[in-house]
Amino acid sequence: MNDHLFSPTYVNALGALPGTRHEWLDSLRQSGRALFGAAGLPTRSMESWRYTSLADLASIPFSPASIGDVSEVVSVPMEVPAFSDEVLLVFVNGEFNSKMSTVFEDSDFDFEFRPFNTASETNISWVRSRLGGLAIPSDNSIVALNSAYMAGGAVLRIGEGKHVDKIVHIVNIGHTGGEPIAWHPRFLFVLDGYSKIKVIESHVGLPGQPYFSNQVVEIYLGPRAEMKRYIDVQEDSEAFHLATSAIELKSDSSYEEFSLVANGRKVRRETRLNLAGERASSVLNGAYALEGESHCDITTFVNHSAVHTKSSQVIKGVLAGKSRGVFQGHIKVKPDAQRVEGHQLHKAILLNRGPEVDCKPELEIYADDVKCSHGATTAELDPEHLFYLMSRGLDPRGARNLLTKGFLLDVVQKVIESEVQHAYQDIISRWLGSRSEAEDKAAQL
Amino acid sequence: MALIEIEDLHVSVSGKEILQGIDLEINTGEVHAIMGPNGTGKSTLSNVIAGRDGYEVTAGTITYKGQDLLSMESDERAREGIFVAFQYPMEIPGVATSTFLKTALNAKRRYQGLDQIDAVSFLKLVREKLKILEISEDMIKRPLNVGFSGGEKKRAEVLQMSVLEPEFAVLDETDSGLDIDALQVVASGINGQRGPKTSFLLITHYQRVLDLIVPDHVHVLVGGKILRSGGKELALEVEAAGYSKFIEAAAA
Repeated sequence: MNDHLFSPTYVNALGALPGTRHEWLDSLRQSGRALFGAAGLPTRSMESWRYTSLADLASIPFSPASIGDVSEVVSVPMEVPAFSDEVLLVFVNGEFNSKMSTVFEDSDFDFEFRPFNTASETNISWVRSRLGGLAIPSDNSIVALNSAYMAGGAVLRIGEGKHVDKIVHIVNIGHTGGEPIAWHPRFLFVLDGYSKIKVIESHVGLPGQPYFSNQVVEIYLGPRAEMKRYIDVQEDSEAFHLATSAIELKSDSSYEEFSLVANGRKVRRETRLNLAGERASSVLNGAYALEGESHCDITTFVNHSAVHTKSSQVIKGVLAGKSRGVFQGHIKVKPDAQRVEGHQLHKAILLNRGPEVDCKPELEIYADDVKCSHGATTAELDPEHLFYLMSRGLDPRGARNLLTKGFLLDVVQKVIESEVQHAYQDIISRWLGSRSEAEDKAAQL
Repeated sequence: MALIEIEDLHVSVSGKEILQGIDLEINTGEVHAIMGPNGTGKSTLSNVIAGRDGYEVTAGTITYKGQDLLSMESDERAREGIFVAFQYPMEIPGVATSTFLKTALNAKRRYQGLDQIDAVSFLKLVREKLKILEISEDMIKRPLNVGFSGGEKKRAEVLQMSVLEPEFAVLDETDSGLDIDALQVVASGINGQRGPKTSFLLITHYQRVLDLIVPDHVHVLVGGKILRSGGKELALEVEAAGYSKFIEAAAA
């Protein structure tokens, strides 16, 4: 239980949260507060938090990030990938920063965008009817915490039949001053029937005090809607990044996600996805590269509630230093969900003695006409492969790096967008470079 | 001084002695062939030259360009100009063939004090060689050997050899499993590399490839020993009589 996050000091420092005068929003926050007050931060005695401790998070006296449009411009860290033809939406400490973002009207790009705070104040009907509908506080006290304090973030709606051509690039920057800070942004995406959008989410932090980003994302996909979401998480080594996504897919809709995590002190990405309509399909792929004391937990709950739905998931990780990787993948197939396919694969490579991987695949199947599979392997780099590369002249480090890169690129290459692939290749190369530097430093000691 | 001198080489694998005293001398610009029945130590020889783990040299030496080869690491041997085309090339997912080749070439160039080559220049360099080996540009964009047929893997090995331009290339049963068309393509690639500065050691079971890549010297390897050495006619003798004749002759 983090007393700081719940102390009068924190609440007072918070000031007025946006939209409090609207009863529906206020009651969401109140119930979040009540639930978090009762449950506290998740502990390792809870099944889905068994491998990820938040004791270190609990010990830090976070202050709330300031609410309201941040007018100062901070420099966008060079780690953030740039894409041709993107609509840039920059959030600093969870709050939308209009100065750093692309300026546009609703009609320009075929989607409606409002910063969360604006949307809360103006009481938009499609927000009121959907917000809190998918991310359930009682499922996860982290969601309750976000509900209690939600501010910052944004709402986006793509209307019926609209195809958004441009890449919507959401850049989340963590910028602490002299003290540790926390923010709880809420994102809501509503895709009406037959609509399409490609979203890139980058998460970075400027070095400084620890920060706690507690993001909740709710995504509603209408019939035949398509969303591609590519997420890169390159948080500061002192950062706590907890992100919970709740996604609902109506008939014939599709959701494709790739998340790439490089380091960060503690990263937990939890996804609850419901294939609620016939023939809906989802792909939840990802890769992570961890060194030092980084901890990355990818936890997913995929629910097949309708017939002919398909889900697939491939996650690959490389671990060095004393890092820790966790993968928990739960596939549930409801009794009436026949002709369903659900596949899940997690593979990890340990680059030295020290890291640990915990893997918990679960299949909960109640229908009888299903095709489900899961697999998990953890290994070291194959010595035969290393030998083969060295026999072509690559030195041992060059061989290890090429194999490590290849191992991750194998899943990155499932992303069709070549710009995104190249951006991810750069992130991976940078990680390998900093790892080599760390190795050299250690060797000198 | 010969390019490579193997003297009384004894090699054991898992405690069992496979090579039982090999003597071999190869000069620069020469093409040698080693023929022998299966299980006789042919691959053992190529793996020892490459420096693979699991092969224990219990006696003898290998001198390459005057240096003790066995004390060099695999990557050093490669940068010094040794190339071994393996019988069963590895599949490496996620690593594009072209990326791998460029990295290997640059490793060699760095070692030789030459400039690194960029992606565009590399593609130009490789195009000629791709044509000869009938490999499409598309194929080298794919991960190394993944999903390649046996023939494609062999051609990819020869492509690597032609890009890296070794001084001494060992081709371990590069001809096995290839139909005559594929064999001709591979032979063109190899013959294209032939020259005064390159030596080859072709390890093969069958004589057929030696019609296309005509050797200067042929050695018959049976039971871990070279039983006979001769010119290219020796290969025809082996084909006509089989290996048992040589085994009997040696026993006598």
